[in-house]
Amino acid sequence: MNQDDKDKRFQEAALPHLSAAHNLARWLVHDDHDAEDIVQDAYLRAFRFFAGFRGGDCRAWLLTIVRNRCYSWLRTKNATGNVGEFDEAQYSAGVEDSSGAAGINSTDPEVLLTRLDDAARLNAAIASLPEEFREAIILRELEDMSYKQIAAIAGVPIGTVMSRIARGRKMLLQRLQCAEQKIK
Amino acid sequence: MTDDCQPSRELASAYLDNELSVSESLAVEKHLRQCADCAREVAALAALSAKVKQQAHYYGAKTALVDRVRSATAPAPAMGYASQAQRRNFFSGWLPAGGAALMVLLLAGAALWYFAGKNAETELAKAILSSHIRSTLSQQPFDVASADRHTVKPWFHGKLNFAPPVIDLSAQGFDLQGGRLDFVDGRTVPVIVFGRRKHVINLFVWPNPGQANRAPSQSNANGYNLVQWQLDGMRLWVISDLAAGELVEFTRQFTSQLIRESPNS
Repeated sequence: MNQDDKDKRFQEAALPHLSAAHNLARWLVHDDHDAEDIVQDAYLRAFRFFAGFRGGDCRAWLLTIVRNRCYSWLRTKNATGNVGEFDEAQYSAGVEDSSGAAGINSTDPEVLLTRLDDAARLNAAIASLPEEFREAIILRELEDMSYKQIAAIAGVPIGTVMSRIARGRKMLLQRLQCAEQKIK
Repeated sequence: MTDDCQPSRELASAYLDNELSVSESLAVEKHLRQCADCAREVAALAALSAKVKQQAHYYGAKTALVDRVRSATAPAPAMGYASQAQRRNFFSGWLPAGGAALMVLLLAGAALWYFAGKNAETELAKAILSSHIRSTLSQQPFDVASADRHTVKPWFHGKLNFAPPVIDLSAQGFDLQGGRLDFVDGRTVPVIVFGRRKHVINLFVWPNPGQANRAPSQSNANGYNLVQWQLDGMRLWVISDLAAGELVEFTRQFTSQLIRESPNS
């Protein structure tokens, strides 16, 4: 087998999961541009270490690398002091027309949630979840992954995944109900 | 809320995700039949889960990113330096030339070792996996794009010596997206493409007369789920990155619809 074959194998195995990789990274770091850089970096690493991949679940293997890159990126960003856990500007940008001047600059996620339409409110609520809950919900609901796969990706026991998904959903429900009550 | 509610509340999410053991599931179900409060809570969680699946934004990879990664991991000449300009700063100096040469040797050897072990897998499953992957990489995974079976089915006329079963399963949550022809196992095979949320399901079917019906059997290859079965002289394979349970559900719905529509029954 020559090098070209190996490259082709990697591309066939890994490229179909680019969307899953980008979706996870984008949800974790909240920025398109950063997510793309992280995914590319993660794929180059995966390419280097493809030899160490012993077959099995290629998607979970790639997402593990992507996730780890996201967290080290977030740590670096935290260390340099310009991190926004919840980027209000991003989610309020689309609703300026419908809302008055008051509250536009509000930094309270709950106030903000009342200003969005249904789907936008859901997306903002997911984005406001702490990372470990957010990643579990995204992998479960958008990638249809089993608790076992999520546990492998996050490097935690299955029981931890179970409680993170349960708590994550409860937090989402509370935040959405809260926002709906304020609208009424 | 009584003491009985506590375990059910804790397990409600895992229950909805089919992640409980049979005995735990039965215990939760038993409690839900008796407790309206908990049943309401589980219904709210199920509605939320469905809402997230439908409405949460899916940030798929843009074509530009696919191209960037493809060229960064392209066959040898482009891999080292040709595409340097496209890379971001933090990739520059990523690989000194000597390291690259060594890596080529190591990877080639390990890839040989890795893929030799895969030979046990049937050639057919491999061919179907390749076809599925090719289709997910291409912009247009089908030659005829239509959600209407009366468009898709006639498209195959004259291209095959049999009429493939094109079935509408939109009521069951599997949307017909189109069809294409592929070459698998030395023959031209129709592929009927379905979608569920963001997942593509490819169904391969060809005549295989004289064989007894075979119940669906499920397997996994490279992270994709496959189900194969034999029905009324036809061989069928489906492949998808959908969860195994949902793909088996697709198989079940497809088969029962096929039997319902069969002229013999």
